Amino acid sequence: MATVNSYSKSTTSATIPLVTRLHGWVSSVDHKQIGIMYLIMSFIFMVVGGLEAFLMRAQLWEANNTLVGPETFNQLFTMHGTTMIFFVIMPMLAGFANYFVPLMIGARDVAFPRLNALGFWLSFFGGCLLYYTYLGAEGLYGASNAPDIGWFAYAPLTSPAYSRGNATDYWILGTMMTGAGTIAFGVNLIATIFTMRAPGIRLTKLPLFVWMMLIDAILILLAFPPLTAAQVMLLFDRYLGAHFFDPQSGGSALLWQHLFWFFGHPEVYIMALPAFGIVSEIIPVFSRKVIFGYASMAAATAAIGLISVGVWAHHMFTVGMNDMVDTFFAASTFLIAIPTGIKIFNWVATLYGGRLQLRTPMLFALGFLSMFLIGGLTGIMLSVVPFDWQISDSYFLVAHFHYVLFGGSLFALIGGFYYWFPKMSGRMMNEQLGIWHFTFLFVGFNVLFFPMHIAGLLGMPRRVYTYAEPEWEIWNQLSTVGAAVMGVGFLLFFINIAHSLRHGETAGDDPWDAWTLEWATTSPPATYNFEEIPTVESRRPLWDLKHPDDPDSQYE
Amino acid sequence: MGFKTSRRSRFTIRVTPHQIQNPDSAESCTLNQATLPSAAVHNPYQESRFTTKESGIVAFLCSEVALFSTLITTYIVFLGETIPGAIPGEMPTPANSLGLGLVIINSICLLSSSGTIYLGLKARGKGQHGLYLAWLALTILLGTLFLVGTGYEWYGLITEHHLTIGTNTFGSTFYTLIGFHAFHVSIGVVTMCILWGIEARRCLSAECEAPELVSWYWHFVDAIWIVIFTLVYIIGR
Repeated sequence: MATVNSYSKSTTSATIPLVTRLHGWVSSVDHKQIGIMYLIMSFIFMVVGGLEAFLMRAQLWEANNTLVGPETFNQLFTMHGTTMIFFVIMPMLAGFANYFVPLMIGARDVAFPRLNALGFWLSFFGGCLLYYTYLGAEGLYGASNAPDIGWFAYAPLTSPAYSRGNATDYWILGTMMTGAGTIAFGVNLIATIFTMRAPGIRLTKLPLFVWMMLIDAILILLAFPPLTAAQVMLLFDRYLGAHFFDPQSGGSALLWQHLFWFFGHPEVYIMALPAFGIVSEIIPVFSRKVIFGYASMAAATAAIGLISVGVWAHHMFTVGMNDMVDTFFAASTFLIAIPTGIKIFNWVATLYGGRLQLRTPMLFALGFLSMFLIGGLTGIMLSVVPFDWQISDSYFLVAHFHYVLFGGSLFALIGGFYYWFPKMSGRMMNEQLGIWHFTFLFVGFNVLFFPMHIAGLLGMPRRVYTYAEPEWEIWNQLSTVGAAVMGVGFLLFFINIAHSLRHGETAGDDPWDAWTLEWATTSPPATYNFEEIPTVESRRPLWDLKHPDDPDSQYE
Repeated sequence: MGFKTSRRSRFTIRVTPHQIQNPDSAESCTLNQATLPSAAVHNPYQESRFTTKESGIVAFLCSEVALFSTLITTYIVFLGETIPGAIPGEMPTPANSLGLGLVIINSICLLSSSGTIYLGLKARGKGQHGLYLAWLALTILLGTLFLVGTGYEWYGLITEHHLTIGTNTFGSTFYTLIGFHAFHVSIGVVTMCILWGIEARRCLSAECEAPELVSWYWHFVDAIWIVIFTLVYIIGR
């Protein structure tokens, strides 16, 4: 292993010119290279989206602030939301799935490598198209202008009358392109998981990350096409004079909300399930225990997938639907808390009695567990219709979904990055910097988002560029300080990556003494992953290999 | 140092030479043989009911179902709605503008093309290459007839009934739903033309799954038409 690494180091950097290496990346159809490109894309957009968030926080520092004007503020929260969802979390989970699903099931590549590359480039250029608006999209005053319609682009804000110029069109086309790339990714993943498992990996032996990515891919296929259809209708409205979302001509603005959230809510689970999967891999390894309740975990995942397509209108309680509809969607939202709760209890039961190793990936997994729990609990609060009527569109909601998407998804994804970095690069991340990163992020996160609950309960509305009440200042200032602390955390993260890529200690094949198949091959794996497709007998093939006297297969 | 893949040479899966029925014509194939799928490659993975490509196309068709479900739902939502304040009878509605005659001929063309592509694949399985090409050509013709028929129907709607996509929500939903379907038919026709061109030069092995998978797509497009026809021309009229 070590010889392979040093060999590659000396030859690659010395003899192969940069252009050739770049060409190798750009034209690659290897699932591992595409996975890494997804991650790089995610980090680039994360920096941009993070800066946008920080600008908003700076604007909200004091009452009646005029640092950025209302137009700019509208653009900032639109771009921040769209970026973080479509171009940060989605590519990050796609990156991990691309890199590790084939490795975990003992496959040599994904089912359709070229389709995979197409999916990545569609996603990437979708992001570029969105950001091109800052340079070239004609806006309200003829100047360059970013979309300012919010990430869910409610009608009639998107109608030609309210959204002049073509920034909105770039938003539509950019996210539509990314959606097409994501569908390609989902198709690929399903075909890979169903037909390219190593001998012996029946569906009941799949690692939980793969299980959750499978449900995730199915949700992608259910949720993204409706968005694409709705966006095509919107384009027809804007350019061909159709009347889908135009109430004055018999269209329905409410229809857009239904169609958008029919995508939007499953999308929340599309972003959460991979996080669940990563945590289900990290917690057993660093507790030195088998995951508690494998079958209930897989079943809960399937249940979440099923229920998540029937909860979308809980985003629309304040619209004025009738009581029956409200009741149905409140009930289904309560219902989805059950499988999610099952998962939380399974993770806690896995921790219970384990010999915990508090390495960085584990810290992030524990951070995920606690933060996601808070986000989940406020989610249940918001599903109570009268409470939602009171609090919807306030900062309470902003706090809730950041606890879910940042404290939940992103914490777990970053934990996954620390966990799998040794496999991807052959080197360990710096543990000390990692712990500092976690500390800054965790403290900063809570200082940033917890006060938003209070600001929201006090009545501060979201998406408004400033406020007049001086008593809200303290909560906003706390949030802004938290944002700065988190910024330092991310700085440490990127320093850690840059440092560890060059100077990290050599990882070896299996630095965490883990049990799933990706750790059976070299770090980084050869292009073909496995010289011979392994035969698997249990859910922990490497445990069986390390403990031939006491293999898992005799218990499962 | 950056991420690197191993220095070891790229692993190549040994591909058994394709059984080309007519070795002489192999020279004329410009497509790279190694990229063409073959079921003869040894499968090192767990046995599964569907092949990889079959699973892929099924997954893709599932996403298409989600797409058409959205369009169909939208059509249903706006069924019977008019522009607020419009005088009844003045606006084109499904009842006063859609005719059944042409669309039934259209439907017969499209639905029978499902049969012809099936018969074609059956002939292919038996090695009757000429017959297969003939059935495939007939399928392409029927698909094209459907598109021409749809175009003729739209021409009538636009010129006689003054129904365009911007007239009212009926126009918007009707042209979008039928248009999306016709777009899928067009994709199918183009794909089958390409397939015909490849097959005419006998560039695909007998085990190649592509013709079968193209037929799955075509059957899917037909099945969706049955739903659309029932909704738009029978229930909704």
